[in-house]
Amino acid sequence: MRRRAVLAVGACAITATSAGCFGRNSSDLETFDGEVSVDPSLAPDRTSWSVVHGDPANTRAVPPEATPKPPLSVSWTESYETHIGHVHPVVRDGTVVASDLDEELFAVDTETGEREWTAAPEEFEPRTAPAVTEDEVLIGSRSSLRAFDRDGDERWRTEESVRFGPFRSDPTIAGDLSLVSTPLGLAAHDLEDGDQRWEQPIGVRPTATPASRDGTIYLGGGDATLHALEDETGDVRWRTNADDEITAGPAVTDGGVYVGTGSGTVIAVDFDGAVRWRTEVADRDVDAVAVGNGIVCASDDGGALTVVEPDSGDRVWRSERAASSYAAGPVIGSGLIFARVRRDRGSGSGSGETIGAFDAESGELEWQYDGDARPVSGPAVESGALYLTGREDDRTSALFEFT
Amino acid sequence: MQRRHVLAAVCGAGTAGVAGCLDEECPPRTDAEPPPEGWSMPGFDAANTGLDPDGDPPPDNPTERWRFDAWEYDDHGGVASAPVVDDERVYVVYGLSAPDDRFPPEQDDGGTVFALEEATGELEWEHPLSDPSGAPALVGDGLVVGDGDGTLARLERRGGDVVWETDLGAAVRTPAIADGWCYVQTDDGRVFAVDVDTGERCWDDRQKGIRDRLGLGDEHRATGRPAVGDETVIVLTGSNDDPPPWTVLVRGLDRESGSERWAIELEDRIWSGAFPSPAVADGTVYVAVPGELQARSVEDGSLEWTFATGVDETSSPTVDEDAVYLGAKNAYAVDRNTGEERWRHVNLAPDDDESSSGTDRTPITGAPVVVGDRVLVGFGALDREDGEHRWGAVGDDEESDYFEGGSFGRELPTDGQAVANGALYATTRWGRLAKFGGDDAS
Repeated sequence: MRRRAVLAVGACAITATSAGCFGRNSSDLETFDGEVSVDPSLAPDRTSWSVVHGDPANTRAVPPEATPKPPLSVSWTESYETHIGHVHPVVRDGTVVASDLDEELFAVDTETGEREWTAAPEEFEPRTAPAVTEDEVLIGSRSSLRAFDRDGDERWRTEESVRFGPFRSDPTIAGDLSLVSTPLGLAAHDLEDGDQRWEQPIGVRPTATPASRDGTIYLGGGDATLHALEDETGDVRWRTNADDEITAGPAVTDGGVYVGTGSGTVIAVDFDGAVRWRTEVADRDVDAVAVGNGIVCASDDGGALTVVEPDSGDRVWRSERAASSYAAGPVIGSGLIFARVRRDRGSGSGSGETIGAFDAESGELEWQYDGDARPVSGPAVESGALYLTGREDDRTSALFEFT
Repeated sequence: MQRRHVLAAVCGAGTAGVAGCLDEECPPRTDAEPPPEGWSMPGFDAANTGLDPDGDPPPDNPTERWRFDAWEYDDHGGVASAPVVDDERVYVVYGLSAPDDRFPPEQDDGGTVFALEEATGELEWEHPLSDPSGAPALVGDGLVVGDGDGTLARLERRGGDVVWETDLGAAVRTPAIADGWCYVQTDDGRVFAVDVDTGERCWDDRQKGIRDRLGLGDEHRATGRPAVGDETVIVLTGSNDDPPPWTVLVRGLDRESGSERWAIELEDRIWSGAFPSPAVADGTVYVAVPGELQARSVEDGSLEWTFATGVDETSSPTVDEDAVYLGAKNAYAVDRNTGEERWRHVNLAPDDDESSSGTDRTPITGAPVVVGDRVLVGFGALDREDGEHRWGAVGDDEESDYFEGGSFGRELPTDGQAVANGALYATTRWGRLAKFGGDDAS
């Protein structure tokens, strides 16, 4: 097996194209003593990418039937104008939803690539990734959470002060509640009418999107604490101290709760709040985690991707071929990890970064997109397609489907 | 004895002429002057525990007996120290500089030690300082205070007359007094043991770097108090040859000789403001550094646990039998054995500059003080068991007489408040000192 061969040389560095030991600086892939074997049957069973990190448990993992099979190319492009930035799209029931982070929220048909609707109410200022439920689209605007129906008509908005913006948390869903960050904590609103059900202050701003699973909400913040809250009331079940500000996750699976910190550690916490392991993966912020199929994958803001074994915390591999982004994260599907990557030198495009797929066990880059589109934020993954926003050219932004 | 050899080597290395390295050691004295009844130094005792195990807190919802606004009496500006209290007077230093604060108050050199009548808050005496650099501490019938010109002085508690003065060479920080000795740091990172009876120096410890050896100026600095354990004096020193920011150095010094037992450089913990003081209890020293609270062995400095706060500006820690208390925007109680959070009091101040406007809500960066069943924070109290707010202004109010909102600066002296005579005495950094509870003025 190829993985065995790689492991045999232990912690020395391997390049994707030629096996052998090189200095750290001359290669992109480093392997360690840990081992994983990918098991796609462990993937969450779902048919949408409804919130920023895929599902309310923030796993960023998709079942085999949803996983695209590289090589992929752009199947359609929906252009829009923005001068702000790029938002992580969401997908549900054949519709992709994104915004221009400026004036518009819009929906695109995944089959045709045609725009279904555009919502641009007065003083909107959308600031977050959207979330999509069976009958609503939610998005954080400058100071309130807004809900639209699936045709783009506004249904309600919150009265209370909420807190959105780049680098903060995106709205998400827990059962019949929406979860949004407030200036000093988290609030839950009824999805039907937007009434606030509860607010739980933690004293500092949440710095990551909360996760929910089986009646418990997991919240990480600038207070370096993982909070487990009762979803119906917001009451604190337990709190566990992290090493530093929680900057990635929480991502929750059967195996526990996984967070990344500003100190470059990934921490696994059991459902009673006990820390199972801590593994240092970088000397800087971990900016996203994905968990599923028997692996934990962390990206850091230095642009590296690290795969860790979920039970032991042992590192398996680390690739500096990955690229950092403020609104992106790796996605685990079948035996692959889709992530933003640095382009090969000589691949022809002016842009330095693109989307690619790593072999989840070996860390080798299996595929990268080499066309003209410049995907930046995402991907959302559904029905064999990737969805990202980014640049079509120097002037125009676009939502892309890759199949 | 090995320690003798170490001491001889230190003296032989050339500090003798400069620092007056003496042959004799300075063991704790059993017959030393005790501190007066009350809250005799910031942090309550030389270990800096912030805990008065025998005291009584004011009753809940006490009335404000009096307030003293230092700026009405001294127009130099600057920052007020934590208060110290005996049964007759309340003492505070006003005019401390805060050069590393993000929003330093306007000020000129110069400041004052104020002694106020405990019952009424009326000014009883004052003593001018050239450039205040630390809080006062009380012992016997005296008050010991440092000055920015390098002077450490003992004044009479009654009347303020100078008993002795000694020159320590650089701005003198807040003393910790125990068993006849005053342990104090100077701005350049040195630590001294001074006889509180006579003002004579026993030992000093100088952290030497290349620039120091070449006479090119200070590579080190200190702002807090030492924490004095049974055999070890623990200090936090900033280290950098082009300040700020400062890398935090935690050192354990032999209490009798001043020789360094251990030193730990926290390379990833840098500080641009004042360093909180460590606190020591039962063989463990608690150190607040940017972003976390650390518990370390007094024996060798090794790490026992850390508790991350994610907040850079923190108070000095306070320690009782079970918990460590810390102001790190929120107020926290952390289990002493496990390092786990026991409770937090959620502070309602905005947590960044972007949204900090329009209210007097203030992050808690002053040390909590523990007396009876209360943890006193700012101008109010939390429940010692669960952190629930019991009374007073702890930084959460939209409008407050005691806090000025609008910045994420350090609103409270990091060394905390004083509780004595059944009353709470608290200062804001801007110079308002108030008394709550205790006996009526009569």
